[in-house]
Amino acid sequence: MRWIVPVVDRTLRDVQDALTQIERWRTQVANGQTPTVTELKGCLNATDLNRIESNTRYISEYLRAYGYQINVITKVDWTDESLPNAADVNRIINNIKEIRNKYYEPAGMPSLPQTMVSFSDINAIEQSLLLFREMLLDMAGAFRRSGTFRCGQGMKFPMSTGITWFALEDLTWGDIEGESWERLMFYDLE
Amino acid sequence: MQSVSAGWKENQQKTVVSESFVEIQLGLTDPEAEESVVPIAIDVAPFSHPDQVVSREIRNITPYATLERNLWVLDGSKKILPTTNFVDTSYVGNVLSNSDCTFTSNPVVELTFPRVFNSYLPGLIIVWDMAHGDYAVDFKITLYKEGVKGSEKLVTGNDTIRTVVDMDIVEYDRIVIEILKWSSPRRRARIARIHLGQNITYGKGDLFGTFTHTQEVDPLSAKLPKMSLKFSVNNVDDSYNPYNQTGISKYLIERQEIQVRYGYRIGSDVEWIPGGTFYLSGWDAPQNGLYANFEARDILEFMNGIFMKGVYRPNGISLKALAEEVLLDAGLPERKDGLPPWKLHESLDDIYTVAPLPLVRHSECLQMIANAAGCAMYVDREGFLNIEPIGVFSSEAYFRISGTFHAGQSFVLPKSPDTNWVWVDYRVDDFNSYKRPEVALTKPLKQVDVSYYSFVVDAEVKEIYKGLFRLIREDGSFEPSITVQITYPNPAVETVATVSGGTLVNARYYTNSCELEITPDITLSNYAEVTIVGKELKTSEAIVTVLAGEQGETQSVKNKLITSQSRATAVGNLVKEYLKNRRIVSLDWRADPRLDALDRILVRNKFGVSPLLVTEFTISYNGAFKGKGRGRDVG
Repeated sequence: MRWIVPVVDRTLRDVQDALTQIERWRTQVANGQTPTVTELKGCLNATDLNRIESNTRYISEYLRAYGYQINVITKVDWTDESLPNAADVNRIINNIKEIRNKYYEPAGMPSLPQTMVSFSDINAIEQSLLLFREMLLDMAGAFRRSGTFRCGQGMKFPMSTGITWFALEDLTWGDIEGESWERLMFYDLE
Repeated sequence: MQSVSAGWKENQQKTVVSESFVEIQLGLTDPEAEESVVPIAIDVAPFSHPDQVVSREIRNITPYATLERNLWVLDGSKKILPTTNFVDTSYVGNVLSNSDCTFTSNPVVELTFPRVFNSYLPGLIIVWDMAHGDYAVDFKITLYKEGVKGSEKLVTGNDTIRTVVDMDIVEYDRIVIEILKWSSPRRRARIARIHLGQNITYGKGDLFGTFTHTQEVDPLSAKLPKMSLKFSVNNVDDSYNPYNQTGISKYLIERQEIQVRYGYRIGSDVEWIPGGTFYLSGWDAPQNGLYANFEARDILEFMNGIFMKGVYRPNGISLKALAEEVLLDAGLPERKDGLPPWKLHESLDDIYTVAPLPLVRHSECLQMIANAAGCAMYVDREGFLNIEPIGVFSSEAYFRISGTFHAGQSFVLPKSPDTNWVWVDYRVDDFNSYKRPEVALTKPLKQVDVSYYSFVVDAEVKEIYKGLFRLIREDGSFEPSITVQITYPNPAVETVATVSGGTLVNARYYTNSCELEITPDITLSNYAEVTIVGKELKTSEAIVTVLAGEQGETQSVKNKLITSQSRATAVGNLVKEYLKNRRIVSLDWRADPRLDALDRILVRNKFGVSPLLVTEFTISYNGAFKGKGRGRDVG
C-alpha cells in the first residue's frame, strides 16, 4: 500500500470558495455551457475518502510488520456513487483511535472528531495519519542493527529519520532509479 | 389570543398605528386530486422516500452527505447517512448525472390518480433539491388520460430550486415528470415536493372594498362555531370572469385552501401573525362589476355529511373516543404538518355516554359532544378544531366566603379564582373605541332544566325495515355489486339483514342505519329484497333542575349524549354560571387583529373597567383594521 500525501490545511475559506464555485458552475450549466467540474478542497469526495482509508491501511500494515496488533478495517474503493453511512464514518474514526491506542499518541495530535461533516473534522483525521506516519519513520530510522553498538557506548536517540530497508524491500532498483535522496528519505515508493 | 411582540403591543397604544398588512394565499388546486395522488418512481436511492414528494406536510429535507461530486460540502451542514430509518428525503434518484449533466437513463417521477380528473389546474410547483441547492435545468411534463398521451410541456434553462410551471392541466389520471438535465454533474436528481396547482397571493393592494374576518363561538356549544372570510379582489381585467377562458376562474374549486395572515410594520420589519385557515366556499364576479368576491369557511365546511355510524353502547364510550370516531369519519383534509386537524381536551376522556349519536351532520355530532362535556368548540387560526373547557364564571366568582377576610385586611379586587385580570393586555376603551360599548341585559335566569336520557332495549325482535333494491343497470346488465345505506325509522340494536334475490357479502350495522353490500343472483331476480329485523331501542327522558334565581326564564338543555344525572347536573351548573352573567356588551373599535373569540379582554364603560368574554366579532380591513363584536360581561 502506498502513502498518499494527505490534505491537512483545509480552511473555512476553502469551504466558502467551494460553495461559490459550485453555484458558478450551476449557473453555467443553466446557461447551456458545460463547465469542467473538478473536486474541490472544501468538499469531501471519493478521492479524499479513499486517501484517508488508504493511508490508514498503510499505517496499520507498517505497524503490523513491526509486531503491533493493529486491527483496522478499511475500504479503498469508494466512488461517487457510493453511500458511506454512519457505520463507515464510525469505522474510519475508530481506525485512527485503534492506531493511537495500540501504537502511540504523537505530540500535537488533534482531538479526534465524532463525525466527518466539517473541514476541521477531516483535517484532524488526516493530520493524525500524517503524525503517525512521521512518528513511524522516526521510529524505524532509530533502529540500530545488532552488533553495531555496545554496552557503555554513548549515543543519542533517535539517531536518524528516513527510509528503512523495510520500506524499500518491495521495490526494485527500477522503481527508485531517478528518485532523489530527499524523496527516498521522506516518502517511500511502491 | 395570538402572541405578538412587545413592539406590536406598543404600536397599538399609539394614536396612529404603523402601516398594517393583510395577505391572503389561495391555493389553486383540486383538493380531491391532491389527496388521492400517488407518486411512483423506480430506480430510487436506498434512502429515498418518493411518497413524500406529494405529501402536504411541510418537511425540511435532510441534507444527507454522499460522495456525489462536491456534494459533501465541509461546512457542517450535512448529515451522515444512518444505516436505517432515513428521515425526510423525498425523491432521490439512483442514477448520477453525467459529466455534461445529462442522464444516461432519465429520472422519472409519475403522479398517478385513481380516476380521470377534469378540473383545471394552472400548472405545477416543483421544489427540487432544497437540501443541496440543485435543480433540473431541463425537464418535461407529460399528461396522460387512460393511457393516452395528452399535452406536454418542455422546460429548458431552468435556474431555480422552486420552479413554477405554467401549464393548463386538465383531464388527467397520470402526470409524468422526466428530468433531462441536472444543474450539477455526477449528482443524483432530487425532488423535495411537487405541488399540484399554483398559489395566488393577494396583498392589501389587491383587495378591493370588502375584507371581513368573522369568528363566532358559543362557550357552551349551544350553537356551532363559525369562522368565515369574505374578500373582494380587483377584477378590472376580467381575470375572474367565468367566460374568460384565459382567466383564473376556471381554476377555482370549492374547498381550496386559503391562508390569511395579518401584519404591522414594527420598526423596519413587518411582524406577521396568522389570520386563519379557510376553505373556499363560494365566489362570484359580477359582469357589471370591477371586482370578484370570495367567501371561505373554516374546516367545519368539510363536516356537512350525515354521520350514520352512531352505536348504542350499554357499557359507555368516552366523549373523546366518540369525537375521534366522528372526526375520522368526516374525511378532513390532511394538514401540512402531518398532525390530525383536531385537538380534544383530556377531560373528554373521563366523560362517558351510552347514547348513540343521532343522524345529524358530523359538525352537529361534535357540537353535541362538546355541549355534553361542557366544552367550547372552535377552530383556531392554524385550522385545528378544538374542543376544550373554557373557564366560565359569574360575578359570584368574585365573592369571598365569610370568615376568609377580616376588617382592616387589604387585598386587591377582583380575586377571581380563574383569571388574573392584571395580565390582560387587550383593552377596548375610550382611546380605541369609535363609540362607547352598548350593553343589553338578558332576562333573569330562574333555573336550568337539563334532560338526561336512558335507553331500554325491547325484548321483542321485530321487522325494522323492508325494501327493494335494483340490481341491474339501465342497459339491462347486472351491477357486479351494490352498496346500500339504509336508515331505520326507529333506533334498533341486534339488527340482522336478510337478502333475497341477491347475496349479502358484507354488512355493517349501526343503531340508526346499516350499510349492506349485495351481489346479484342473476338467476333469481333483477331486484334484491332486504329485510332487517332487530330490537327497538326505547328512550326515556328525565330532567335535572338547577336553580338560579327566584324568578325569570327557564333554560332547557336537551342533549341525548347526556345519559347520567351527574353529567346533567354538571352541565346545568355550567349553564347557570354562564347565563347569570346577564350583560351583553357590543363593541365597535379599532381592532387589534390578534383577538380571538373566547378571549377575555377588558372593556371600559362609564363607571369603570369590566372583563368581557368575547363570543363573536368581525374584523374588517380597508387599509386599517376595524372591529365590531359582542361578548358577555363576566365581571
